[in-house]
Amino acid sequence: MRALIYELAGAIGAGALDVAGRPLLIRQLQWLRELGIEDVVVELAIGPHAVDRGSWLLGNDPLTARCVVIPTRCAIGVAALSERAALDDDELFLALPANLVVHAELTLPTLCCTYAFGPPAFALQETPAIVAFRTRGAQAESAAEHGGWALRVGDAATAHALSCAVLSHQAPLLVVHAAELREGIWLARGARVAEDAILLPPTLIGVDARVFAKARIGPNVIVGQGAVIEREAVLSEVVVAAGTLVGEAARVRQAQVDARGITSLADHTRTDIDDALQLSGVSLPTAYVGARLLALCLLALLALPWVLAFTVTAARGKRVTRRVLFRGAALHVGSIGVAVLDVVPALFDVLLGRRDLLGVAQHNALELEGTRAEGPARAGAIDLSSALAPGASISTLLWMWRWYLHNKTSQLDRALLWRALGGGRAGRKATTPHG
Amino acid sequence: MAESVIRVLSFPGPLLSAEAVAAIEGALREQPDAAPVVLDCQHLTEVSASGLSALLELGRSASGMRELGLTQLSRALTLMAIQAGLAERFSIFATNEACMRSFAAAGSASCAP
Repeated sequence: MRALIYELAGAIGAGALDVAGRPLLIRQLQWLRELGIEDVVVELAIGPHAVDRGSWLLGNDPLTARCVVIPTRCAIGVAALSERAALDDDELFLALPANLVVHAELTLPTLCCTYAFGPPAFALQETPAIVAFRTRGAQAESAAEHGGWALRVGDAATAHALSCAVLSHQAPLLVVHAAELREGIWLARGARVAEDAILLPPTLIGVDARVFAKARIGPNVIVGQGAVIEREAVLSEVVVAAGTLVGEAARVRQAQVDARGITSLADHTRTDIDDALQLSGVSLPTAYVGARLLALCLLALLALPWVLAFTVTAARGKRVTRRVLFRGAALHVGSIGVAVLDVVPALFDVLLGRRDLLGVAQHNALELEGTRAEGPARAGAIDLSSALAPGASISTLLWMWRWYLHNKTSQLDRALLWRALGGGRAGRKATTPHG
Repeated sequence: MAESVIRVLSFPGPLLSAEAVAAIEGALREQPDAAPVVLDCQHLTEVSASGLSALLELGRSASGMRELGLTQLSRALTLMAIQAGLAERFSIFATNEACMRSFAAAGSASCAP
């Protein structure tokens, strides 16, 4: 038997919500495996954390080895998803909404049937959640009640509440992949906590996370993988995203924290924070030494006319620069032209390791359908955007930006640079061997 | 109304290049009608930036005029499709047959033998 995990229109991306250290989607796959179902079709609609979910599902994890991912533009429904996944008309499958956490022991039926699960005792939801065994064309109408529980997790606040319940042993069937240091305090593999840091239950310190001296963590705090909590930070009712660095003496309450800002768990308002001392990413890639040397050479080259001009001026007492009008302002520039000066500040960023030499220029400011275009790659001093999708529409260019941010390699950059300079084909990238 | 035939087109080689997409575009232009077309990606193993952008543009230009389906994407190609938003321009199916059945059921087109 197969299972279909389908998106819901009002909860796109719910599978990425963290539940006690594991994404909801992974929790669902773990439950399905316990039932004996390993062939799972997962709908992945365009929306929040689509790339993250895709990376989990299409990676090397044995749990997802037999998952089939169907990318969709929006939630298409169970029937359409089963059609796209090439299920036979009369094939019985388990239809599981993407925002539902279920814990129950089920015997797999042989006919269409529907089960209703009540919410767990700690949850505020009252209406039961439905899980259906059905075919593409038919499903059972009446829902039989079943032991166990199910919880609809549609937002970060509900996921956080469920996580805290799991850490407090109120939802014992969900496994916490960490060691319990003492009642309600969980430390995952590689987590390090300073001796004088204060941890209040329930709290989970994720894989390879670090908590520095005199930090006060908890209650109800989930620290993601690789996150760093600096000294004297105070966190309560907080979810810290993986790879986030919370600055020294920062105080955060009732929020979801990532490297770029915080999202309130109460009203879901987002506040961007552009202060590396408060919030930043832990593992920022640094520019290679070769890129920095090249940036230094380019700076020297760009500065050379100015140095010569000032030297001649000093020697002969004459101005050798030209006065030109540029956008209504008069500028004295050297013979290399005005536009090149735009790259000078960016080259300084490369020298300081804040940018790559090659890349797209302003991806932090890029908005795509209301979501920020993000990826592990940083901005580049020399902009390759023109070579990504020459002559294409804006919407295509935006998608190519997003693809580039996740697939940037030095080989791809060199090919795009060559293309930008007018030669050859651009950007030949092999798919990974396990694809 | 004359019944249109749904065709299955395969990319000419393992590389998704601008030239490969141009070949597909040429094949589409030769079609006299606006019947849906299935693009079989089973043999694609490499993707170039130019090919990907050309494919996105193909989907954009065909939008509203002709239904295009992508089928049999490998796992790596599926991940790239997610990163590049191919689902916004194409309907993605697991198999050619599923795609053809869906297109046939949606309109008056029939599956090519």
